[in-house]
Amino acid sequence: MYNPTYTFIAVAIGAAVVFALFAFYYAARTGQLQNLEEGSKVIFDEKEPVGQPTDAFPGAQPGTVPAKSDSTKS
Amino acid sequence: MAALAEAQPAKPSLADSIDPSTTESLKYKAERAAIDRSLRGPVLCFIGGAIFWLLLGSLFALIASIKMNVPGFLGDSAFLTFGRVRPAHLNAVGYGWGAQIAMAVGLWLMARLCRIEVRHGGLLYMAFGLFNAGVMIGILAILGGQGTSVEWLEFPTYAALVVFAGFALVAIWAVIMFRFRQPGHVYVSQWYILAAFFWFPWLYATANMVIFILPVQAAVQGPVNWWYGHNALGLFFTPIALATAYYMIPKVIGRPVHSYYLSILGFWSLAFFYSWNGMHHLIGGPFPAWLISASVVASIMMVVPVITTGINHHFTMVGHFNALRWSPTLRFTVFGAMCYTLSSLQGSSMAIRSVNQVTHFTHYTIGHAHLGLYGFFTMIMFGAIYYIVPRLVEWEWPSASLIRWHFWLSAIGVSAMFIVLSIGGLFQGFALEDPKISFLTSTNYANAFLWMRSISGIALTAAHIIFASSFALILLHAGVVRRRPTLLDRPA
Repeated sequence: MYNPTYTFIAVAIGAAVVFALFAFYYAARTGQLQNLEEGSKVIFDEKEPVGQPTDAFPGAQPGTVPAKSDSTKS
Repeated sequence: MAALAEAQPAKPSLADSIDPSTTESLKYKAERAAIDRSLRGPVLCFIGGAIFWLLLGSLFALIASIKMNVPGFLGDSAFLTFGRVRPAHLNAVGYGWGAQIAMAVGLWLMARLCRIEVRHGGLLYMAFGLFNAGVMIGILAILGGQGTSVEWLEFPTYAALVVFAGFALVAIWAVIMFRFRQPGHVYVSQWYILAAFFWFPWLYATANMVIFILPVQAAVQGPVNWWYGHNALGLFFTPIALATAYYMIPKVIGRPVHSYYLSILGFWSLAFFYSWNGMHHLIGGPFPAWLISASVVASIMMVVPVITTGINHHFTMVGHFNALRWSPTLRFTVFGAMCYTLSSLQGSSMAIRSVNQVTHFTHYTIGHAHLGLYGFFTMIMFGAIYYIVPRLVEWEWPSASLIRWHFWLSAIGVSAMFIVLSIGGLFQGFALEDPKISFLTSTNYANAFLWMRSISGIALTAAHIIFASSFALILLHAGVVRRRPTLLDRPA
């Protein structure tokens, strides 16, 4: 007996596979899979360059351990 | 900034925001501070909402945990019985906390990496309202006895539809941001976030559709249930957390990821292998052997993305482990990344039939779930919040001590919970396999470990209260003004 839900499942799974393949094709076509090591640096820029830490405990300079006196606020 | 303001149209229409070809305004490179300002309200709302559900979910967890040792505890009220409080905990932390904080962090990361301001933030407020209304309705329905009893899908359909609508709005906005992104390389975190924001609504809608709205035959509902349940972890929570780790670790220490090749390999292997994994939950069940076997194979194949990611994170950190002393974000993120490797390899081993035969239906599985969703996902989200919120509110966290207490209580709490549930679960599992031992005796073997679980749960709840207090204080701009707030790019 025909059950429309199986058609729905087939379409849903098929659509996912098509989407994944399309995404992979898109990535390859637009050069996203080339020159990968340069791609790792896109999260850095002139304001936050490679080599500059960007987090610290409150009261401390980036890349330094806070002094005890700086560890809490009054 | 003045040049940016000139380049930006006064008031873009909704159509302008959906179709990048209709506007020239996106040629400017948005400053980080401007991006943060555009997201401030919606992201803070999502974070606040997530923390509310984290606290409530912790309360449900404590009640359910104590009931494992004292079954009569709060047993006089129907809505506080174990069968309702336990799914209330699962859904409060899974959707209210997990999915919501994933949306907050995912949106912020996507905007940052696309270098694009978020427009029409009002729609994100609507998404926030819809999502939280759906979760609230769902939790109340579960406590009221209207839960569906299908694990991870306990919300009745009327609540699930509202949750879906809220999430779909956020996902659409993330896709729009991706479309509007500045030209250039798409960072690996963007792939993870984009995929997660596509996968989750697809999984959630499909599972609800074929189990509740147009129900398939009962025998097929089990596979659909675990296809959804496992993929929600692996194709939503996992990619969001990995996207965050791939951004936060290099960014905090100021060093590009060790091997970008491996990060890309990790993403695509996760995308191709993970969706097959869920059927290993049904080992021993009345299902076609090929279905289970394919899932076992795919579960073992998950070693590929896990090892590549683990190696990548480790070698990125080599020479910078001292940074764990000065960065709260890094502490949480690295702890989470280590838990990812451990929980994923443990998960692969649990898919092996001989191992599953012992661990299935025991507390070992619960320990594994907490290592994954808390040790890995939640800890990385905590790290992200410590990084994001000061930049949004332009204020420093009020107390380093509170952050330290939060970290150690969380880390020790989840580690203890994992260890005691794993050991207790193995005792329980081997006893269940022994025909000379009664079922009652097998459950008694786990009693002492369940008490220790409750104690570790108290530690986690205390950590959450401390975290919520920190969040409330930073929103109120409590404390003195710092000489230099945490690395903010202060707007001009």
